[in-house]
Amino acid sequence: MTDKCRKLLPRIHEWLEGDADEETTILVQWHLRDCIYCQQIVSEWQFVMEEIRFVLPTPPPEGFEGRLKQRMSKPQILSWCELMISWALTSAGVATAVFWFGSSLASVFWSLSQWVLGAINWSTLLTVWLQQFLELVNRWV
Amino acid sequence: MDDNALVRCCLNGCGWAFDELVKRYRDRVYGIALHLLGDCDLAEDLAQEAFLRAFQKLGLFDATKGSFSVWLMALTTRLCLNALKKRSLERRLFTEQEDVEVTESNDGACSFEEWLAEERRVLIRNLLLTLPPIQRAALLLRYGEDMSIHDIAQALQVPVGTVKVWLFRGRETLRRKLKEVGLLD
Repeated sequence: MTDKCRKLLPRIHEWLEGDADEETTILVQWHLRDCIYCQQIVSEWQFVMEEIRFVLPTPPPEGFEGRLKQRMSKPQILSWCELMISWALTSAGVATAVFWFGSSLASVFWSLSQWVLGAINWSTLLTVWLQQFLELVNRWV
Repeated sequence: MDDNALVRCCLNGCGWAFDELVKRYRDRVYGIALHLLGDCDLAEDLAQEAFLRAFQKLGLFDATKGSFSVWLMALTTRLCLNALKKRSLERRLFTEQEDVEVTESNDGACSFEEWLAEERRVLIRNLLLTLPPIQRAALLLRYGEDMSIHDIAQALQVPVGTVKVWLFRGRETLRRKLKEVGLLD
């Protein structure tokens, strides 16, 4: 194998892939005409390609389609990632709802209490309480 | 009926159309999975997973961007490579694969030629398994599936130049190994 061959190997590969430009094609074809070593490499590479094509299709074990159908009819189990995302989204939704509802409820109670406190006539209330207390004392005495 | 018509049929709710697609591609999908993972059970599991995902994502398949076979093989390859990454199976391969292959090659009575072809198949399969998974994937897709380098680059999400380098190295390594075991003169 000469230095020229070594340098040309990537180009020969490119040519074999059908990916070479015109210049490379001419260069490789010219070289292959005389170089027995590179001719052999090319035929060996072609052999490798054919072998891979030969071994690839492999029939799956018997019952493959039946098992696939069974699997397709089953409800899908969520992956960990999907489970975490769904949990996070649900928790965020619940938290938002609780916060929103809670704050609205608090504001309702606050305004209600303000309204009640504002509506009470404290002097009348005190007079009524005092009268009731005196009545009780009178009855007791 | 071509693949695209079957995909359209399937999207319209015809169950038989997907069955037909499975029948057409089961050997190739299982073959890719087996040669990438080197484990029969895992390969079947992953092949089924690939079909399942394909069925679920069929709506995403765009016939203008490439053929169904390229799309399916890319999906299968990515699934297998992810599985390899996850389980770091590489070490297990070499110990378990030989046993699996021996049982595969011995079953049933067959002629001498068939036996020889099967032995050759097993030998090449085992030699392929000694390559790095990503190189193996590139070789299988390019020479086994006739996918273009551009499609492989898209499937493996790497630049075109990287795929070319993997192919060159993978093919050269395999050639040397075939020579070592005497399959090449």
